[in-house]
Amino acid sequence: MSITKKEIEHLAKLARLELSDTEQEKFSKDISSILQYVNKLQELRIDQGLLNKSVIKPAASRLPREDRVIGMGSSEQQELIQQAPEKEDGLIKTEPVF
Amino acid sequence: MSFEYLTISRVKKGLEEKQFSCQELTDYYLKRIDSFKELNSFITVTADTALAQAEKIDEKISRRSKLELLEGMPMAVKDIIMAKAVKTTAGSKILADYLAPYDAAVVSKLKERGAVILGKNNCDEFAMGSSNETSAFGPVKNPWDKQRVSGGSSGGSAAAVAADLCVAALGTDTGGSIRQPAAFCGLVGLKPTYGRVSRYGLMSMTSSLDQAGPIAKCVEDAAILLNVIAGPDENDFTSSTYEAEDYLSDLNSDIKGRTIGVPKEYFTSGMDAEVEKSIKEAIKKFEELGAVVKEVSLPHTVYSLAVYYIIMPAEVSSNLARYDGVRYGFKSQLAKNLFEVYAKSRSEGLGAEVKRRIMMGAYVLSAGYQDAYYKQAKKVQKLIQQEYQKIFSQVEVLLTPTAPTAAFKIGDKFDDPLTMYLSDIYTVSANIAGLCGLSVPGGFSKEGLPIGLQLLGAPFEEKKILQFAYNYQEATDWHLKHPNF
Repeated sequence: MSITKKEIEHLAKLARLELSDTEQEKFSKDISSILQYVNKLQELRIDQGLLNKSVIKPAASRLPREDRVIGMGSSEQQELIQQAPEKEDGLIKTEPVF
Repeated sequence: MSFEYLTISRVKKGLEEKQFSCQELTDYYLKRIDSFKELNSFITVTADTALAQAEKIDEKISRRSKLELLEGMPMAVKDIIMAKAVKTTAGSKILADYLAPYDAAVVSKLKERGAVILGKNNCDEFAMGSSNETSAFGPVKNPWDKQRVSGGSSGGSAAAVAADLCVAALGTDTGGSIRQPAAFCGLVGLKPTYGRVSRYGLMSMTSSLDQAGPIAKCVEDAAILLNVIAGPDENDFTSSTYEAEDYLSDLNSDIKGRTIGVPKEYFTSGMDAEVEKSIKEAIKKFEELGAVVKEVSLPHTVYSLAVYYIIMPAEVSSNLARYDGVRYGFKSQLAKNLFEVYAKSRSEGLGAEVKRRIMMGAYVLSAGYQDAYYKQAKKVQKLIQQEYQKIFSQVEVLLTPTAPTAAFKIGDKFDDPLTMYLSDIYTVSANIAGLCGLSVPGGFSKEGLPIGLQLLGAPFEEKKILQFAYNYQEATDWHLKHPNF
């Protein structure tokens, strides 16, 4: 299983990453060898019926809490906004979408 | 008196009997953190708030003699766990200046019980690594041999506890990140069952597997810390509603006649001969203690690591989409439009291993591959869960090595991700199958490096693995040996 340079370019675009040529080459080699390793899962034929029959003790039996607005004080809000790399008038600033 | 290698109960006694003050004790650790900077086990040291907290504790002690369990306990926290108003980097350049706006649930719990937080430990970037070498702040050195890795991803927490730079620390474990560094540094590391401890305020890596837990000098300390951090939390929907138990009481329950399973599939060709020798000696020790040890088979466990390397990157690629150069963290100065803000900020701010996993995740989730990879992995995960569930109706706990080798040299595996991934081969099943697991010191290699033994328990059976580990610890003295560095 090997992954082409073109596929790497496509994945990088999906993942919003810009990769150098060296990174592209290294990742194509690394991901190919990881895929070769994980491909051993393909040899398993799984009986879906048997899988469905099992009862696994649930980790959590929590019911969703009521969907309500908890709210946040303005100082807390500003604390969060302060973490943004660019801001203006107490708002987060970024490049235009269009 | 000497402060060296104090355990939680020893610190509590010392403070209550006024053998030392909390300020003296805190000062001891802060000085050591400074003297052993070269280990690189801390990213941020919160000396001022730690000393202020210590002063408050001393005032309390002057008024009353009994202390709460963790009152005045100098501890450290992995830097992927948020502590309010403290820099929380997750070992990444993209969050190098990020100040956490709130406390993680586990940090709130430590604070409520009066712990003194000394600082934030170095870790692999966003907990992605098995050697602490992917941290943007450099690798952590193992106090047992400074040429070697401390393990990962909670490598800074393990090195700090092993070097006695704090009493104990909290780490997180997604595929072995508490247990493997604990093994490499000669400590006790406990990964609770998924859902046992709230994940609120942990920076998410693999949300369906991440879990916080203690790294400590002995089994009792791990039990005490689990008592503090375990329990339901309404801020984490995946935290279990099962009430936590008292993990400390009955720790010394006898294990006579109780059963231990040793899965034959764990004895693979990759296992180091010295690790194999340690585990065989441990089996003998458990038999001497009266436990019944039997060989068991878990034929699908060999697929755990492959399942992990599909599910984990899939979740990583989604979880790390939030680092976009807009809302928090680093923003590239070279970006000319919105796409470039995303792509350039991420490319400059994230390290190679993180990018590799994001790419791998994008691949297994992309059109045409999702069924073959992600869905198949989820099915095999269920198969593995069933297999472990069945085994735990036959035995109480499983005994395995924690890692196939002792700590390796810094740089040895760094360029070959697949070889690095294989360091997690024995730990990852606990995460995939939703079990609890711990690593306890189980001997030393000829070169004097610690070797860890792993005990695995059924979901929410932390008490059992702690009891078996305690019995083993009391019959050995591995945990009493300290590194010379």
